[in-house]
This record gives sequence, structure tokens and C-alpha cells, in this order.
Amino acid sequence: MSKTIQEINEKIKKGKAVVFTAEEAVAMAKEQGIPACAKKIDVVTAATFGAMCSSGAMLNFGHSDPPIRMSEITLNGVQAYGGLAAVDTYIGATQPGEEKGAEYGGAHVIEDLVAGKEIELCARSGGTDCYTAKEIRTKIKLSDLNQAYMFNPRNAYQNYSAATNTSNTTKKTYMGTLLPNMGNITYSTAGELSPLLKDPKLRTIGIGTKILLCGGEGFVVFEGTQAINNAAELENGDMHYAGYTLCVIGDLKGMKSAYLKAATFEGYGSSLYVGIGMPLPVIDEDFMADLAVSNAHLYTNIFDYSESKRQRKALKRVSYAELRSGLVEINGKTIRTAPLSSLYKARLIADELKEKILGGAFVMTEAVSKLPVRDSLKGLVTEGK
Amino acid sequence: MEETHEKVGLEFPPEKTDKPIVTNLVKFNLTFNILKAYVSPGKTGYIILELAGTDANIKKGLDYLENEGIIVKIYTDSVIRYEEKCMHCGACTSVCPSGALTMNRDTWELEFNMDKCLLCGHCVRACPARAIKSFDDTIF
Ligand code: SF4
Ligand code: SF4
Repeated sequence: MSKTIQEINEKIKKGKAVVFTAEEAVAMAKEQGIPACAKKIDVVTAATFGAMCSSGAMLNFGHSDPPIRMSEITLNGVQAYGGLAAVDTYIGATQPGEEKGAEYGGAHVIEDLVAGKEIELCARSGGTDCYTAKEIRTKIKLSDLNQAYMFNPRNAYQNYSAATNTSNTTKKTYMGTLLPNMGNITYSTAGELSPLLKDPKLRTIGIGTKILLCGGEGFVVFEGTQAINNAAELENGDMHYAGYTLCVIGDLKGMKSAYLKAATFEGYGSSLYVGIGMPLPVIDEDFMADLAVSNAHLYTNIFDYSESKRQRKALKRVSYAELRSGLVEINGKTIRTAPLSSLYKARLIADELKEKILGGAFVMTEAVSKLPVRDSLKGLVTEGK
Repeated sequence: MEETHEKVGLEFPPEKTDKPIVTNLVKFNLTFNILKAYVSPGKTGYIILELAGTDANIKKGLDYLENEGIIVKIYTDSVIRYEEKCMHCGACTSVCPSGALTMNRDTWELEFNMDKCLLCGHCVRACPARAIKSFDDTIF
């Protein structure tokens, strides 16, 4: 049994496609088995809603009169990149505000833009013969901009390490506040609902795949930075996946505030919670088997985040089912777990994408090119010691 | 002398939790009622007290506690609440010592049980969306 994306799209257009969210597909596969699911289901929707630091927005302001070649740019007091063409800029999610630091950073500017709020734009320039203005100060809204698109070099992490802290002081990290003496464990995943855990061999996700990015239309444009997809096979035959990532793009003007959220990680910085929905076509039984893998068979490692080393040692391998249970044992100690990404929101996204496909409002795209397989990551050698 | 009532939250550093500090408040002619206590050896402890006595004696009692290295927070009817901004991520549940904030394991929405809340304020800073505020921001 196999289906092509074209065949499935025809069904979508006729309103006849059968669409399940990944969680629903996992449940159905348990009851009826893989072959029955592969036959019945046409599309599985996967989703995630989590903090994705490598996110930002590309903006074009249009020209002022007289024009300016902006070289120092701030938006609501947050610096944006001034090394592009005259009135183009990129604002990154983790850029701290000049006044409020992580309490109002780049992510908050993006959130306010999407919410339609007015943003104060200040720009300075040395002035040139053709761009004579040296300083401008004005208010802009998203609707005033020519182009405004999110361009995120690293999103949708396939798998991410869980965190704990073995030291005797509290650690404030991008994995949240970690209490001393392994007082808690935090993790960030949509687990069995997560896009790249459902297509670990990158059989359907590729360059050009249309997705839901923060509630609007978006696309996978490239491999994400630091992508790695070497998986380890465990003794029980399960796979422990690494951390492939995706570079994605999408128009800010089509996004919904409910599906992106600026965040402040105490003592660390600002970040952006990004919602991604991904349609996965059920092309054959093998792929259905990947789509049906449940939290009990998806794993991550728990690392000690008090250790400031590139190569940390894993304290324990755990399944996402164990993490979701709320308690995990390490060396005889029972430790509370807490999620950092929102499964609640991820489910809303998977449901919304499902409804869109059922209603014929979202058809799938075929990848224009395969994503590369990466089996190792380079580190950075620094000078000195 | 008129008697007043004051509700206070006490945060005990781990090394102080096993010392009988609170009972010494009687020496200042104060009566007290323990409303909530969350104390276990070797961990930061929290006690919420209602104190009754004259204003002057309450002040003396609280000064005594602070001299003993205890963090004293005074509040009236302060509440912790999460607003529409909550994205149900769960980050706050990882630092809540009392189990007042928990995730519903079916819907994965945040649930808040005010009765269990010790008003320690840890959740306020741990919430990445800044969705938790105290009634009185000066408490935390
Ligand atoms: S203040 Fe917050 S962290 Fe502290 S007990 Fe109450 S809900 Fe929990
Ligand atoms: S940390 Fe904040 S946003 Fe996350 S669940 Fe708690 S209150 Fe909601």
C-alpha cells in the first residue's frame, strides 16, 4: 500500500481526506494496528509549541523623505541589525532591550508587531550623498511595513535534552529555574505529537514543505542550524533520536497572537515561543509505523546543567512517557518533572491544521529538495587553554 | 492598648528550619496562629502566620525574626493569579514547593490551588510569559 502526496491532495480537494492528529493516530494504531491505519488515514498532523531562541523577523520599513541609510536601528528600545540595505533589518528574539533587558527583548517586539501594536522606530546613520537623513524617530505598525516575515534559522528541535542540577545552588537557565540537589527536572517537547519525531528519516519533510507557522502559512526553507540526525538504536529495538532542526519562514502578517509568545527566562534572556504545525502524508505502511510511535518509545537524556561543559555526561536516559508521568527517579531519588513547552497549545495547533485540511483550506506541498542528513556536529575551537 | 492582627509569611533558610524560633514570639506578648506550614529538614521552609498583639509588639516580634535570618513578608489578602497570558507551558510548576501549581495530566492546562499556595513568589519570576502577578508586587 502506498499513496502519493498528489493523490492525497486530490482527496483533500474533494473533501474526502481522512485526517488524524499524531496523538489520535498513536491511539488508533494501538487499537487497530499499523496496516489498518495506513489504509484509513491520509494525513497526520504534528505540532509543537516551545521556546525557540533562533527566531527573528526580517522587516522592510519603506523609505522616509528625505531617505536614510539606517545603520543603527532600535524598535521599542531593542536593537535590530543595521548591516543590510538601507531600510531592511532583522530583529532577533534573544536581543535584550536597552532599557528592560530580557523583560522586553526582540521576542517582545515581534509579539507586539503581530498583535498590531504601535512600535517606536529610531534609526541613525552617518548620512550619504544619496541618503541624506541622519536620524529618524517614528511609530510603525505591522500593516505599515512592506514586508515582515519571520525567518527562523533553528526551529522545531526533534529532540532536546532534559535538565536537572546536581549542584547545591539554584541555576537559572534556558531550561528554566533548576533547583539545587536535583530538586526538579525540566524538559521541552511535544513528544509523540512533535513533527521531527514523527518523520525522523525526513521522508516527507523537505525544502518547500508548507507548514503552519504561528498560525499562518509558512514553509520549511532549509535544514536548521546545528541539525543532527544520527539516531541510536537501543537494546529493545527502539530508536533514540538526536536533534534535527528546521529553518522556517512565514509572513508575520498572517500570524495569530495565540500561537507565538515572547518569553523571559530569568537570569538567561528573552526568547520566543513558536507554534509549528506540520502535515505528514501517510505515504506507506513503514511511514505509518513511524507516525504511530508513542511517548513510551521516544527518549531523551537528562543532563546536569550545573556542569558548564560542551560534552556533558548524561545522568539518565528516559522515555517521554516517564517524563510526562511527573516523577522520575535518578540514583534512588524521586524527582518532580515539569514541562517547559506547551502541549496544550501544540494540541490546539494540530487540531487547527487538521480542521484546515478537512475543510480543503490547506493542501500539502511536495518537497522541492531533500534535507541533508547530518551525522555529526562540529564544535568551536577557541584560542588559549 | 489596642490589639491588631497581621498576616505574615516567613521564609526559613534551610539551616534554621529545625530551631524553635516561632515559639519565641510569645516573649513579645504576641499570640499566633499557624495558617500554613511547609517545613522539612534541610530545605527552605515556609510558614504563614496570623499574629495578634499591639502594633509595637508585632514590630518587635518581626524584628526579632529578621535578626534570626528569616525573611518576613507581610501581606493582606494578596493573591497569585495567572491571567490570559498563560500559555500552559508548565515552567512555574517546576519551582512551586507546595504543589499549588500543577499540570492537569489530561488536558495539560495549568491548575492553581490557592489553598495550597504559600505565597513564596517563586512562580512569579519563573514564568517566562510573566503571566503570574501578585496582588501586591512589593511582596516578592
Ligand atoms: S507563590 Fe507560587 S510557587 Fe509559591 S507556593 Fe504559591 S503558587 Fe507555588
Ligand atoms: S509558567 Fe506562566 S505561562 Fe507557563 S504555565 Fe505557568 S503561569 Fe502559565
